[in-house]
Amino acid sequence: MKDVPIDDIASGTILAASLMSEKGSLILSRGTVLSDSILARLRRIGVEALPVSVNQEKLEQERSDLREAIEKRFQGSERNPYLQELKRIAIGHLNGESSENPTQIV
Amino acid sequence: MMIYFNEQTNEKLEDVLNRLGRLPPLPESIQRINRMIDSEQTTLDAVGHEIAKDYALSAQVLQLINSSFYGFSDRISSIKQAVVLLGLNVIRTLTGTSWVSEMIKDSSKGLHHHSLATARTSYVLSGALSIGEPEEIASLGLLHDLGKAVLAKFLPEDFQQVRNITDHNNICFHQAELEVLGVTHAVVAGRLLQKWNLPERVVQPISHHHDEKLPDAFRKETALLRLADLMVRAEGCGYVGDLSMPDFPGEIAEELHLSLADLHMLADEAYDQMRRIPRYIGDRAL
Ligand SMILES: [Fe+2]
Ligand SMILES: [Fe+2]
Repeated sequence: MKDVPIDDIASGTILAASLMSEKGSLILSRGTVLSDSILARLRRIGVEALPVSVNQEKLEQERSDLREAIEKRFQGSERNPYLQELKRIAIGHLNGESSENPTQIV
Repeated sequence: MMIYFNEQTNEKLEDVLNRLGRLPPLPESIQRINRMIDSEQTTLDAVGHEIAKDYALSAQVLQLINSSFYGFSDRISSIKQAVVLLGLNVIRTLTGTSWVSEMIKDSSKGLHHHSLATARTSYVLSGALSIGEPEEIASLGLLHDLGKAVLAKFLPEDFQQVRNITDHNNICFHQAELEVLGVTHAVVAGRLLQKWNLPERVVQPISHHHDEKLPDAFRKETALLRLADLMVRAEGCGYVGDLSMPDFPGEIAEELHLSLADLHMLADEAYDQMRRIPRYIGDRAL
């Protein structure tokens, strides 16, 4: 279980813990399938992140698919330094590097 | 200024435009605002008032420049303020953009996502490289692939033929378009935007965003737009009908005075903006 930013949650994801209001009343119970309309409503009342269960295996699969897509996109661009740089950057972003911890530029 | 091509391109373009049939004209309300802006005696107040009278239009224009769209601060909260801060020329672009961009919203989820990401990236680059007004440069990004939305809707068979080629070969969409139609979506969009009275500083970079070389006019803007498109495609943000990267000629980096380190820094900043496009945006919930 992990608090994931609401904008990163796809519809169909399952809520991993019940959601209570400040006064203690139940808003959504654990196990609710988060639809687009539920997500939109939560966003409207100011919810920024939600506890959802992250499927590690699925995450790994997604990442390796994305990695493969990058290789395919940049096929044939080996001799262009700018495209190679964009490729390195995209792989870095995929691995969770962002502007907070920029990669060393050689 | 006209968009210049050789005769053969012109002929093919006319052919495609004829087959597109009658596209809707720019709405009368926006034409009226354009006429006001063009007239010598107009005042900021009068234009602001005219836009504010059209509730839907003013809401759309505000949406274009405030955080619900680009994710930047709510610097501008009223039309009156927008007119004062951005000036009439930019306002003219934004009213046109607000109407034209509906076509992008109504096209595929992937193209909408790509366009929005390119708009945000263009905004970032405009500020960082001090080229143009960010709010207006963002329009370049938002509208640059308009031609694809139009072709998909009005020439679906040709569009499908192009897709068949890109699906099975490692070539870019615009190259396949040249094979099938003889012209690219860039050129088609340029002509339509010209017809809809968008200014040349928007029309020209969009028309030339797939040329081999940078054009003579609006070089910086064209280089910026191409860079934004490349950055978005590098991240795989959205889907535009093909899977391979277009060329990145050194000319682009030279025109923008970019080192590889600059490129890296800007790409990080652009990526931060791309990540903030909510997942639901592709569902036309904009
Ligand atoms: Fe394009
Ligand atoms: Fe594009």
